[in-house]
Amino acid sequence: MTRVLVLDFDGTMTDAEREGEPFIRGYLDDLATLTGAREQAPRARLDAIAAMIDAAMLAAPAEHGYPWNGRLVAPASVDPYLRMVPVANAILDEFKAFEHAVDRARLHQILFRYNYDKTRAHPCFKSGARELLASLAGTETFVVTNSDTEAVRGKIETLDDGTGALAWLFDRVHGYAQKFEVDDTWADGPAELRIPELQRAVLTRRRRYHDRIQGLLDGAGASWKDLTVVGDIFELDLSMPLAKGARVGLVANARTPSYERKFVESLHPQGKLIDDLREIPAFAFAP
Amino acid sequence: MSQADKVILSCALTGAVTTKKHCPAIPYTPVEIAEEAKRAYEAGAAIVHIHARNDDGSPTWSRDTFEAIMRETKARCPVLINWSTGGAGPMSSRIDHLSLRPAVAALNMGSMNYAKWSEAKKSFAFQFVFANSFDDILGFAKAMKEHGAKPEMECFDTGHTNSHQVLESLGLIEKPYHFSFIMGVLGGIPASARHLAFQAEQVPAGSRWKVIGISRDQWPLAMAALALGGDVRVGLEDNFYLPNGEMATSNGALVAEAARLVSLSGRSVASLEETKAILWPNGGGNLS
Repeated sequence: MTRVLVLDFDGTMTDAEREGEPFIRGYLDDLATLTGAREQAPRARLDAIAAMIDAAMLAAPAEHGYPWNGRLVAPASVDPYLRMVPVANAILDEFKAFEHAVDRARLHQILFRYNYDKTRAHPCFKSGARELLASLAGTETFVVTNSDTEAVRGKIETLDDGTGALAWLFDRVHGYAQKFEVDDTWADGPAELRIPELQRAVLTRRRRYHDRIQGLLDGAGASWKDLTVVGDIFELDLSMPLAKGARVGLVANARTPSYERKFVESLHPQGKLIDDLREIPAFAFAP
Repeated sequence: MSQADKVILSCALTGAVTTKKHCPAIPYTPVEIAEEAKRAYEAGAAIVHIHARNDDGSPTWSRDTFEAIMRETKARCPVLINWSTGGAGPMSSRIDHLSLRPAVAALNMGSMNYAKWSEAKKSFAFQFVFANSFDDILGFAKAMKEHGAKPEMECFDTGHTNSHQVLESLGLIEKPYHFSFIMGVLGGIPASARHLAFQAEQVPAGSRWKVIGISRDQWPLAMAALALGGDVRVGLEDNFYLPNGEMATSNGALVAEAARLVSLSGRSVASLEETKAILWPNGGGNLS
């Protein structure tokens, strides 16, 4: 039996809050220009909207989801990248800008990518990330991320710092996983799962994400039962693999919804709340 | 990929007002302008918008200078040339160079106060009336038609955009119409996404439009235009700075950044041939 480990990267191996600061700042600056709110007084209004939405998400994460095609597919509060979309929507609504859904989605796409690029130069890794990844050399470990492949590969190269200890991982990064994309026409496995304290269902038919991992499992001659997935957002990173029978590890942070923490803990031994990255190898590769 | 997914990149190479003291990369001489045109073209621009200058950097409407610019530019690259016609001086002095038959010529579509307000000093940094009477607009449009140049209708406000109807009625413009929305000049339409969207809604279906953002507004407005289906103009006439705040060392650097934004938007930069097919679907024009 070959065990396989799939790691998320942003927020899992990095401190997304610190790393995302230029992303948030740049996104808000651009929105300030586009809404005409660049001068001091109106900019304060824009910042107040952002703070209000952020506080509301933090206080009640179950009520604030990240929307995709009209449905909520992840908690919006967990990292700055997800959080920015509802914040930006609230600002654009307030200023009556980009009211057409298609135009707004296009604007989000370009603002998101443009400002995400600003984080590339200053990756902020979690303590122990380098040691963990170096220790996984020789295992069937891959990175599957929603982010740009080259961006994440670049971060790993930065973390490697020319030592070569992480070179084995450079070509094992698979970006644009579209983990948020739910495909109802795909009838493989349950459509949803229920989590206590979360009123809405967690949608699990994330076909493109599934197909990406399936390809890796096929290459390793392994099945979903042989797989461990570790990420920082249960709904996005872990729900589909769990539905397929994989082990799941949640690297929680201060913004992780309590309902996700409790649910993953309740999955023991199939699920684990990971407080320290050093716990990952034993959890992932135990028989 | 459809024509709507293609983005025509234009570059305003030099303008008429700023100098090398403001930005060392601003070209003055015909050779300098042509070299900048080549850099812009190689970075993805299909059209270059050009003002002429004397060797000391002062603006000129000398036909000989424009002729030299065209000759030097064509010797270096096949980019489409767009002559300015706007600025100081009577119309009669700003029209001769159209006989050189550029592919495109800029046509200011209305009058307005044109000013810069200093909030700190509570006074105008400058202010004047930017006068473009209908007599002048029609005179320029007729000259452009006579010489085969496609008018790029420069609109600083919605009334300017609406005035295209007069040119349409007189048969002075041919579809697809070509609009530019200049945003953020005091006296004109504010630089916001809402106003840009409103401008874009005013143009007839099938028209091409682009945004011209001034100074630091340029990049966010370019992103808004890309999301709304528009084209983009960048260049040292409008803005010296890259998004990271560094001063651009060439027009090519600004165009390269615009091309990156196009890629991020999921659309793609229109090549020279694609630009010709978009703006002149039935052929014609000064495209050789």
